[in-house]
Amino acid sequence: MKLLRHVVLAVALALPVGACSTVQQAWNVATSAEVPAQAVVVAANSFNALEVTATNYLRLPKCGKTPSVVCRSPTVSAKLYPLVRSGRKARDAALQFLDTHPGQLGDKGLYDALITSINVLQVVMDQYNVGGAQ
Amino acid sequence: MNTAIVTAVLGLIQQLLPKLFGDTALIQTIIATLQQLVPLIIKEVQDLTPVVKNIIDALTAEEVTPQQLADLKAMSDQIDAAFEDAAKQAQAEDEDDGA
Repeated sequence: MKLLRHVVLAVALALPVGACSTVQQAWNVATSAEVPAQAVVVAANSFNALEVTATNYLRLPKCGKTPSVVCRSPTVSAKLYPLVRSGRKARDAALQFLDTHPGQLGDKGLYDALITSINVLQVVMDQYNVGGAQ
Repeated sequence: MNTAIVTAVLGLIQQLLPKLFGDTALIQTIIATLQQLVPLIIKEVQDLTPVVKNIIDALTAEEVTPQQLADLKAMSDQIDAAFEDAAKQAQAEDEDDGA
């Protein structure tokens, strides 16, 4: 645990502080149909964070089966399955575009579809306190 | 609760992303905030550590390399597999109980 903490902190603290201007330039040259590849990567990771949180929720004991107040509702679980799977398709499509267009900007339409999936999933998870149940 | 805080912060960053890329100072502020979250994430929600690290890397990267993309896809595959495994068990449990 200590080693992991040191490794991650070292990586975080070693970030180049001047690199952001390049990212800004990437965004500035994007047209209305394009987004920086970095933005797509951030969005994909944001979706992954939600998927990890949803996974941890599904691993909780089912409500009513144990005396634990921290539990998983079957109704909420059923809402998560399709939202995560459709979001996954949007994430994969956006990343696939980057993969087949190396060194180029991301596709705005695929990016927007991923953002929409993230927003819908986030709303449901907030509504049912999915992240707070863990 | 801490998981909710982390995902809420990531959601906020996502919402602000188009504006972030137009403001270098704001990006630096966001990166600093994420760096402050790292100890909390490591302690409370270790599963999210690589995700947050990837976001910090992306915000500071000059470009997305093929290796970064391959690593992200590999990590995504693992996350997908874990979700499907948890979903399979949860659905089986719910079907057994008639829920």
